[in-house]
Formats: sequence, structure tokens, C-alpha cells
Amino acid sequence: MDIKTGRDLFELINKGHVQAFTNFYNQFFQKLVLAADKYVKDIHVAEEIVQDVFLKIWEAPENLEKIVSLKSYLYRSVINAGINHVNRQKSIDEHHKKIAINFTDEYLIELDEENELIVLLHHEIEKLPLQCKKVFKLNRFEHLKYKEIAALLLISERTVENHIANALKTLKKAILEQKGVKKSSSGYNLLLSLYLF
Amino acid sequence: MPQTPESLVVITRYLNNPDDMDNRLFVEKFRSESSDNEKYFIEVERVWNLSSAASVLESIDQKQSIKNIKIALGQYSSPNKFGWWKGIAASLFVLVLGYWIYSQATKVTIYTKTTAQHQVDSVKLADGSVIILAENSELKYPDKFDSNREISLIKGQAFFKIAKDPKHPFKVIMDQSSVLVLGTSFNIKITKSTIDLGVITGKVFFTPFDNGSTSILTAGQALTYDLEKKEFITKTAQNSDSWLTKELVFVDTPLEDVCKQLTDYYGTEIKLQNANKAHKKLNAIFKYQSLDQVLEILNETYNIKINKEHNQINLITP
Repeated sequence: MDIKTGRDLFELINKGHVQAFTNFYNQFFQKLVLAADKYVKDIHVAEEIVQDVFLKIWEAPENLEKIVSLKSYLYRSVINAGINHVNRQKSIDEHHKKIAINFTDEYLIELDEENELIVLLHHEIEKLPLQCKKVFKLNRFEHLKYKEIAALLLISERTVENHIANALKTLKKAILEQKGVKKSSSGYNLLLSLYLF
Repeated sequence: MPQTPESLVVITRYLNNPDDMDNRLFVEKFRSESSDNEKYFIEVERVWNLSSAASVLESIDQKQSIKNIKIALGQYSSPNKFGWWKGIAASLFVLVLGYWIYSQATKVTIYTKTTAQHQVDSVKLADGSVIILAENSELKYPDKFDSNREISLIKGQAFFKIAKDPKHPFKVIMDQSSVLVLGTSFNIKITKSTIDLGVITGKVFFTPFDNGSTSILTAGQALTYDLEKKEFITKTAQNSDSWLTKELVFVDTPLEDVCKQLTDYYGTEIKLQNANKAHKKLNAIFKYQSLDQVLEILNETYNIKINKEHNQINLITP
């Protein structure tokens, strides 16, 4: 069952479907953690916040009934919880308090698409060949320059450049395939409907 | 210009160092050639940028998180069916679980990293900072940071690439002295009598001892602190990280300073005999060169006589 609106999730919770709720949590968890982390800048706190938001929803799902875009609701809840956390930490310094902004649905849709790509990239980076992955992570995650990586791993700078180029090529292909899968599924539906009529 | 493997490598070089003119010109030409090329470049750049953001996900254990929420949900039979007191018991459980997860997350262990002769190693800290240890060096660091980011350099030399976090300044402790930064890259070398500090990027605050006055160093600056005399000598940081990059860069450097830096890097005393003469400044980059190769180039540039004694090399200009 596809959970799109608040009502879908509300019905699921009322029926007490723990497994389905957990699957739904699994789908959104990483993307929402990315969103919360932008504010709290601490991955463990971000995790807690996302878990907290979901547990509160399970406890009191009444608010969900009227929600049309569940995705936007989740992002807003998580981001606001993140901002509140930051504000609580900085309760002494009034000057630096962040203001809870009302994000538009369009902004949140774009944010979700970007986070989806980041989750995909993370998954694909893990699939890179061993040395290529090592070099790529030293550069993109730990921000070492090619010169420094070459010195550290005792390889030539040219080898480092080749690894990075290879990784970029592989990852770019993986992203396009993902986009292709999404596009072709909607294309297939159109084709099917043409055939039926 | 087609999208060949070679053009991708040049784009890769450009992304690593956008300031390099050769790479920048190539990329600009490549992009303007066709809309396909432009699209290609934008897509590669997008992967480049977004993959950095993916580093955040490294610290999450997806399976553990699912387990955690299953445990928490298991405490609920059917929501809202048994009244408010069940809700309170559940909220209490969530609080305790939350605190337990938090306390597990904040237990701290101190690790020591030591390197032997001819060994280079690196350490990645909890905040994403990277420290590269030279040979014969030792570092003490915690697996997690609480409100302060602090590590100790016990001996030797290390290159620091510290993640920016204005809320939590990063401190390197060397016995009595300390270095405080927000997010920079710098090099520290400890000997029995001196501390050498060179800043590559960012800003660094150096305190020689408790209640000692603090010096502020910015990118390109360096200092040597004499532990016995309790004195500072400032200089440029041009080649502070040469031990790591294997590159010596000289930009308008006076010959006397060149000799000092060569002495530091190659470990052989190189002395300029007639230091009081006005020599032209040196502009050169030496990459993976032996001392003999460097001396040959100095000979060509300055027409010097090289006099090798048993433990030092003397340079005599005409």
C-alpha cells in the first residue's frame, strides 16, 4: 500500500500495523536525518530527533487526517524540531536564535529530491572498487587534496586523478539510471493507457 | 571537444584546484563547445558536490535505527485504546530509551596513535577532522567529542586538517603549549627544544604556556617557539607541509631562507657563506627532488661553488 497522504498513515496507525509503520520509517529515515543534520550539525542528535518525531506521530496520529502532503509535513516537523533543539542549546544567547521559517511545499519537494540523490550516492559509493572507494572518500568526505592522498597512500597523483574520474563516471551513470527508472515507469503507464483505449 | 576519458580527468583536476589556469581554460572551452558538453560538466559537478553531503550518512547505522524504533513501538499495544495512563507510561519509556541511546553515544574512550621510523599514518576524528602523522610521532585523541574538541600531540610532527565548527574550537595540546583553531589546516613539529607551527589555511591561536600571551597566525605564516628560551621566531609557512607533499615551493625567497628550508627538509646543514651579499630571490618549485638535484639548480641560478664538508654543505656565491 502506498502511503502518500496523512490519511493513509492515520489509517495504518489506527489499525496498529507496526511492521508497515516501520517500513515507512525506513523509507524516509536517512533523508530526514540529512535535513535535521543541517541544523543540529550532530548526526546522533539528528537521528534522535527523527525517531522522536515518528514516535510522537504514532502516539497521537489525529493531526495526520487533514494533511495532504505527508512528505512536506514530515520534513517540516523534523526541521522545526531541529531548530528548537538549536534554540534550546543557545538559550542564553538571544542574538543567535534561529527563527522557525515556514518552508513552502515546492522548497521541501526539491529538498527531498536532493536528499534522495544523496542517499543513492552514499549507497553507490559503497559499491565502488576498494582502492577507488578509498581515494574517493579521502577526497570527498575528508577533503584531502589529490597531492595529500597520493602522499598518504604512496601512489602517484595521476593514479589518484584516474580513481576520482572513474568514481565520478560510475556514480553519474548510477544517478542517470535511477532517473531513467522513474521516467520509464511513468512512460509505461502512459503507453498502457493508450493501448487500453 | 568530445567527452573522452582524458577530458574527464582534466575536469577532475579542475574540481580539485579551480584556481589553476590551464585546467580552468580547458573546462571553459569544453563547456562552450556544445550544450551536450555543458550538460555533461554540470552533471559531473553535481555528483562531485552531492557526494560530499553523503559523508553525513557514514555515521548512521540504518539497521540499528530500525531496531531502536521497533523496540520503542513494541511498548504500545493499540494507541489511544487504554486511556491516558498508558500514554504516560509509554512517554516515560521513550524518555528513558532516548537517554540510554544518548548516554551510549556520549561514552568516551581515549586512543593513542604512534608511528615508527619511515611510517606515515592518519587518523580521522569524530568531527571529520583528519590528522596525518609523520614518522616517529605520537597522538592521543578521544573517539568522541563532547563540548570541547581536544587532542594531544605527544611527540613528532603532524599535519592537521580541522573541520570547521565555530561553536566548538579545536585545541591541540603539546605539554604546556596549545594551539586553538576553528577550522583550518596547519602543520606542527615538536622537537626537544622547539615547537614549529605553520599555517596553511585559516587562522590559528598559539598559547606557549598557561597565562602566556597568545599569538595569532594566519594562512602563510609560521613560527618557531623555543621551549627553553621561551622565545618566538616568525617566518613564512611556505614549506611547513613539505614532508607530506614532497614539494618545496619558493616564491621570491631570499637565498639565506632557501638554505634554512633546505636544511629543515633534507636534514643536512646547508650554510650560505657570504650571507651579507645581496642575492637575487629564488622562484622555483621542487617536486620529489633529491638534494643533489636541487643544488644543481641553485648552481645554475646563482653560479655558486658547492663545498661539501663531512657534516655540512657550504655554498659560496661569486
